[in-house]
Amino acid sequence: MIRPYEAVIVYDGTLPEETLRSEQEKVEQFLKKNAEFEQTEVWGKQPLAYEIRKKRTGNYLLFLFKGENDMPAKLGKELKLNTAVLRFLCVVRSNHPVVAPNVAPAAPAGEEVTENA
Amino acid sequence: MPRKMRPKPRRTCWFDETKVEPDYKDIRTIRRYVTERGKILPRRSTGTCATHQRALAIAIKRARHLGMLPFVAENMGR
Repeated sequence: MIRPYEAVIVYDGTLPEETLRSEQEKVEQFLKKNAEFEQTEVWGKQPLAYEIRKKRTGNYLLFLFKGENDMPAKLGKELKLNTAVLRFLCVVRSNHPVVAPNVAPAAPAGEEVTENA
Repeated sequence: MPRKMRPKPRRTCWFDETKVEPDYKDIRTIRRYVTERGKILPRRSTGTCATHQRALAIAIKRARHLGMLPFVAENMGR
C-alpha cells in the first residue's frame, strides 16, 4: 500500500557543507529510485538537546515522499550503514498540517505550563 | 480535620481549542508539556484530553529520539 511518509535525518553537525549536500543528494536519489520523492526541507544546523556520539550539533533534513510500506525499513537499512547519520526517524505523515515546523532545541527554558494544581 | 480543598483549575485541552495536533516537529508547543527535568507533564496538571495526551506522549518521545528534546534534566535549556 502506498502511503505518504516523512523522514527526518540528523547528520553530524561538524560535516562540511559539500559533504552534507552530497549526503542529501544520495538520499534523494535513493527515494527517487525506490519511491515517489516529493521534496526536501532543510532545517539547518541545530544544537542537540544531548550529546550524540560526542556531537553537540546536528544538521536536520526532512524528506517527504510517497512509497510502499516497506520503505521505512529500506531507508533505515541504508542510513544505519552511514556513519554521518546521528539519528533518523521515518513515519507516516499525518493529515494535519503543522502549524509551525520549528526546530529550536535551544529555546530558553521557562515555557513550562504554569497551571499546575 | 477535613483537608482543605484547593480551587479546581480550569481544565481545557489546548489542542482541542486551537485545533492544532501534537507534532514532534513543533518543538515550541510540545516543550510546554514537559517539566524542567524533561518529564512529560500529567494530564491532571495540563488539562489535555486523553486523545491528545497520547499523541503528545508519542510526539515528545519522537522529539527526544531526534535530539530535539532532552531525556533528562541536566540537558534542559541547552
